Amino acid sequence: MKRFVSVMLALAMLLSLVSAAALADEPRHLTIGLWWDLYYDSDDTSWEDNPAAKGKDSDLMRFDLVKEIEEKFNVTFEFVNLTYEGLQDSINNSILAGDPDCDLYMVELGFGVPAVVNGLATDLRAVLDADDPLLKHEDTVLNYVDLADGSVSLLTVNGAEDQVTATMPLAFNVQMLQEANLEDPRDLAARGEWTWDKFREYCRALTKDTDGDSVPDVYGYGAWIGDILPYWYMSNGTNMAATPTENLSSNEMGETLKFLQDIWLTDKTGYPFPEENGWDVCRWLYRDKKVAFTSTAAWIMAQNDDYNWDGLAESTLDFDMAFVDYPIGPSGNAETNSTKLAAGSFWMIPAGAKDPKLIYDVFRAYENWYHDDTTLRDDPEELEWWYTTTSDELELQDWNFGIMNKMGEKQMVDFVSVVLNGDNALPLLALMNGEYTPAQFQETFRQTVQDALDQIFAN
Amino acid sequence: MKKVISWLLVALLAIGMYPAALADEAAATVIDFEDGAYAFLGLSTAKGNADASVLSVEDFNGSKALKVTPQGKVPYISLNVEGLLGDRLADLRAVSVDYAVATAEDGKFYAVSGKVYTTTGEDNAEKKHDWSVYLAKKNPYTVVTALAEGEVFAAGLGNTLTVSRETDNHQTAKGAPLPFYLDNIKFLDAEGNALPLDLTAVYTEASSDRDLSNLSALLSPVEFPGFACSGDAWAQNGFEMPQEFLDALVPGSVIEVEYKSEDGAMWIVMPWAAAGWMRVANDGSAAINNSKNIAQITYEQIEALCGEDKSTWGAMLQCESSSAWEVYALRVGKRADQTVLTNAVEFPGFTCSAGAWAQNGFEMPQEFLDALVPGSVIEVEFKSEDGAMWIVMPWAAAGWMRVGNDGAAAIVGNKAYITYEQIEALCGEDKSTWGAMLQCESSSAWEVYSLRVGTAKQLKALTNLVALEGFDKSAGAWAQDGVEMTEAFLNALVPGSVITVNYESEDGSMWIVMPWAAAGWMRVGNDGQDVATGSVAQVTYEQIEAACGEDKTTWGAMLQCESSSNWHVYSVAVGTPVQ
Repeated sequence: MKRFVSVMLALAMLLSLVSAAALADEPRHLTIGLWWDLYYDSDDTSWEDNPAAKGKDSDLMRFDLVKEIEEKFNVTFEFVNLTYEGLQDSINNSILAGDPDCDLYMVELGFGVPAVVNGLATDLRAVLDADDPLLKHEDTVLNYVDLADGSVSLLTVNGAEDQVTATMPLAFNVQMLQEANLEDPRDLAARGEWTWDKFREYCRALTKDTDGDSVPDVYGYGAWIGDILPYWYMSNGTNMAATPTENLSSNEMGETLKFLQDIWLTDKTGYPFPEENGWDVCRWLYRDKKVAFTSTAAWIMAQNDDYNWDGLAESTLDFDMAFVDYPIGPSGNAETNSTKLAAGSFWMIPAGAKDPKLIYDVFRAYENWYHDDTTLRDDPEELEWWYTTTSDELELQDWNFGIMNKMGEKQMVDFVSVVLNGDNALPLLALMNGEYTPAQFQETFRQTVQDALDQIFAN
Repeated sequence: MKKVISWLLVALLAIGMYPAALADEAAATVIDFEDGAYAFLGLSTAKGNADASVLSVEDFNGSKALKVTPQGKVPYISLNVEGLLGDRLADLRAVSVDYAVATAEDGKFYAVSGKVYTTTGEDNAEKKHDWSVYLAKKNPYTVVTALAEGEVFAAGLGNTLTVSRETDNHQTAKGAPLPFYLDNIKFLDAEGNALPLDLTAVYTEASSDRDLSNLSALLSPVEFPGFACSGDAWAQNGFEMPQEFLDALVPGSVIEVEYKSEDGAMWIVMPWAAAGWMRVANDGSAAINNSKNIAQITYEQIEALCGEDKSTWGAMLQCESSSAWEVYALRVGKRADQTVLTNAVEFPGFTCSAGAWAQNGFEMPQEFLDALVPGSVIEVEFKSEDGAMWIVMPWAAAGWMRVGNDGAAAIVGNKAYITYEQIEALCGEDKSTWGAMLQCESSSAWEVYSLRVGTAKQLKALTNLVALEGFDKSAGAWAQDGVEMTEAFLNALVPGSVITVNYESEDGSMWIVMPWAAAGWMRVGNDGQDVATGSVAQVTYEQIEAACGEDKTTWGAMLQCESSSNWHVYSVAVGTPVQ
């Protein structure tokens, strides 16, 4: 009887080994959930399966890459359009139930950050080697968004276009500064001398009453407060709504609000905010030479047809606009300040996903279709619009693009937009008109920011 | 004896089963569509992008389910939740539905998603919740929609519960929508128990849900009794006009047709006219709403073809379309532009009711009286059995006065409008002599839900609409989005024409932006200069001209929309006002 049992046990072990070996050879199928159609995956049989493809080298490289990945990692993978609502349902329910529908999810910050905070995403610090370049923001292909808890969960895909998108640099009228005999602030920035105090000094020097009526006709700086507030507090090394706890009440934010009031109320070197159509007016000021410095964006300059970006007409400006880093505030640090509010789409591996290292490696390989040759990825021909919108001088085009690109390298999650717009909008104009001191403003509206954050993180 | 015992046992069994049968009947707590009935739900056309979907009960996944076959726009399936739940309405805290989507012709699964809309409470505040069927292995998929705190249904206020399907990946990829299914609908209380249902409830779309975009208001409407018929494309069908209908068909009147047709077209035919067999308004000149389910043809349009002498038009009135069609109702009334109230002042707490020919009301508060000025209009939101409503000024020095009776008040949907000038004509020029009491009255039992006074603006009825293709856009407050104007649209944008925007926005505002105008980036119709109802906004050619200059070629091709709150525009068109 014992012999019989032994034989049976041996047989059972053999069978389990055979089946395990067979399973080991079976490719792992990875499901990638998102809310639009993405190409290419293991279901595609031709580069033409992507309706947007035109047969360019990059199209063919992306298509050929699928087979390479399948063979290298012994996987198949598919992109599944879950719809926007379905994706959130899947994250909130299947991950929570311990059985994620997908191995990788595309997310946006509004539901991605709460998912991370609520433990629904894999923290890659526990998955990757400690010296992995990603963890130091040094990977060529992928990057991650810094979150307050230090977790490495929300991945972004590197690429010049993604970086320059949604940046709003500080810009100045080059000739106006030259006429005022002021040193180019780009040189000051290079020497680490471009500070808030220096900026105030420049604004005072540039604000002029040209017709002698005691009312300035040219101001040092002009921009819409709702556009610029995040850039100024980022230059002071802080945020407003980056974590579940509001930060409007912080000292660094108080310094920022005081600095802005100093420009508009103390120095009176900021272009007065219009009562109506404020941002329309403010986004146009530089064109009429009513301000020397402004905060602008490539899309605003394209919309204003500043420099003949589409080649259909002459440039409409007879002066140059150069981009420069925002000056550094007293609590800021040029090396560590964030310079762009994160926006767009991000990726996360769900908590409970099997073999997250494999998922990460496959995703990284998929995004590295250019095999580390970033000149293919950031082909200037593909990015031409971004260059030609901001200047008609080649050298300045390169410079301005470089500033936007640098801004995009250090992104920060901040839900400030929910208190800049809509029903919860903070009364920034009242602040800038002096109806509140910075401290009064912080105390009065800290709960407004907290309530908005509670709503985001409760969802 | 055995036989007696047997009979007794049978009798006992029968008696024993009786309560069970009763319990079965009383215990309907789920809508499973097994009996094929679904009269308690229907399509809502209240929203501007509503689809004329086909509803049916069919076998799916081993049982019966409600099949919704969309025609290309967004289906909204509304349930008579008040009728279904009766006195348990307020206990409703969650809705459970099994959603499913049909497999496509290529054998693949395509995800769908949508919303569950509720309007609850006294103010019928709208809230929405997501549903989706997002993976093949989870199709069908049970979604339990939990209502938020304060999202509580109340009886008698027209609260609604509506399921929409807003994203269809198959439609996005292949252009055609897939049918989807609803099954096992349960209404749950706070403990998760399914509430008992009265499945005999019947859904009827509230009259306020009627899409009145592009249409005239009908004063003193006269129904064409029994006008319900159908026909194939280019086939006519109709009836002889009864005398009271003919009597109301006078200069300045308009015939209104409620219909459905595959291509949205509808016109009338006068086959017995002495001037010959006549199609009227088949050239796009009928005013047709954005939902393409109400068409209006003016007396003058008939007159232009059939002659000035109405007695020669013949008694037969038919309908026709360029596609298969069905007409549900037809009426005639005096034509008036729709009235929109701006700068409105509420009469606080004006909620009351009474029987036929009985009055009820309140004394006017000072702020209401202050707003009641020449040019202003009183708007009464009401329901009455015969659709009539007017006001009474019982304390007027000139004597007890009815104002707006005998069809003099403009009735648009569930609202009646009485002008300051109508009161003045009866009660005298001196407002201080009108007395403080304002009452409502009707010729049938009535209820009034609110009363406001404000400045009246007129919404034009439009014909020959040319749509701006691809204009289905949304954006946040103060953000613009739009498309470039097509040649056909630009050709129709001529002096006298009106741009109509079919939209929703949180604060009701909507205007257009001409960002590429040579005169500079221009807002047109903002600051209340346009006419915006919350669902339809109109901007005239002349308003654009005033902002962008006389030369249309300098306006730039881009047309955008904007609002001071989050907005969604379903369509933009340009048309000619009905004269």
